[in-house]
Amino acid sequence: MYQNELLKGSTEALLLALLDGEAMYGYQIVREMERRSEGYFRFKEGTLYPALHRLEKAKLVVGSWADSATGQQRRYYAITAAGKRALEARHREWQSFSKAVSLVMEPGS
Amino acid sequence: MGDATFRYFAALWGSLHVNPRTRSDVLYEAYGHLEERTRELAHEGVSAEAAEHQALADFGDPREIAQAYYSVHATTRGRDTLFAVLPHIGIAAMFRFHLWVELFWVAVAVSIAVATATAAWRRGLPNWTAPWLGYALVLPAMTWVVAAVVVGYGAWAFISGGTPPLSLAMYIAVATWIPVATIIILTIARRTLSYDWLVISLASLPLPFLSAWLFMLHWQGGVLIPDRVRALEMDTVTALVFLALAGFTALFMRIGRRSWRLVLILALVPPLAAIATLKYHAAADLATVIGAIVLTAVLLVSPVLLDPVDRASLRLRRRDATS
Repeated sequence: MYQNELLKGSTEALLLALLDGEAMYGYQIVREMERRSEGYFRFKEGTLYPALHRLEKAKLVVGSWADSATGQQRRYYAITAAGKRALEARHREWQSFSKAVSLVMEPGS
Repeated sequence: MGDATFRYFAALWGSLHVNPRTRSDVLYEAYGHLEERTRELAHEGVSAEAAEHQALADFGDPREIAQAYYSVHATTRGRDTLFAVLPHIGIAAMFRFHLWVELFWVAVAVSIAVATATAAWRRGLPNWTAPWLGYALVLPAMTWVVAAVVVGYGAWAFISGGTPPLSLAMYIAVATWIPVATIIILTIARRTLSYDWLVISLASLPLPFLSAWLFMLHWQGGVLIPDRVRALEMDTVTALVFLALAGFTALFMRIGRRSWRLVLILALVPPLAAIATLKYHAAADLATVIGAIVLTAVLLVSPVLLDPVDRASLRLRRRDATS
């Protein structure tokens, strides 16, 4: 339950981080998220797409149809310059937050 | 892909109240995803039927997904919300400063509404369009009613007395306007319905209030009489009504849940119509006030009867319930 809440609040930052390296389509993003988190992040896959559309509406990513490696049409999402700036800001925020949590939860470490 | 996928997509399509282009993107993306997931599961040795069910379960509830898309695509913030409330504020200003008595300002207001609605039409009806469409349609809608009355009255006068009240050329021009206005209204309504019938409700907001105001003018002797003292006294009330519509529109545009939007429209607008009726006609009895509430509610909800997406969705749910 707590894991879901954490994921909910971080979905957009995680998506931006995943797209920072290369443009990807939905299914590819799901698999990449699982691979990088070593299976920690699992969610209803359909909920990923509205989150991508939200990022697109905010002009943080841009979506376009293109052929995938298997020859099928897929909608690829690429991070924009505004998306990169937003990712940097969220990354800094996350570092401050996680440092503060560690200081409270692991005093003296 | 089997029957389960067909049903899943029927449910997703029936719950998606977004513009047709986004709807098409959503369905293609979902199909591609499910196809790939099913294939992957089949490679892992899962049977075709089990793989299909597993892929659909992993994807999630279609109605919840459709709702998430709605909250992304149907809501507006900042500049777009301001654009959506502008026509109501403009009309409020016209009443507050008594500009409606000058034909010039009425023509300016109508021209701006029609030009903005046309530009929005060409840009694929962005979310802020509905109020502009509503005001742009006031003219064809009201002239349609007047033309219908003139044509009916002319036909009756000719049959009963043998003399038409208008010249034949004028009569034909007025009669020709009826199908032209009908086509304009239906074309706009049809395209708007392909998005969401609530957009038509939002566009229809000014109609009950403008109608109540016109009735007030009519009871005072007509729109064109020079003495409009009482009507001018009511201008501040009318301006406040349209400011209230602007506030309502801003709130409506921020809400991401379709059901809450419907509740909001029914909870706030008919009572506002009742207040306007009481202000315009101090002697209005209870039946008139209830009539204003019911007619406004019916006007705002009636577009649901024309919505192809909601009707198809309802048929599918009934079929699922009986099978």
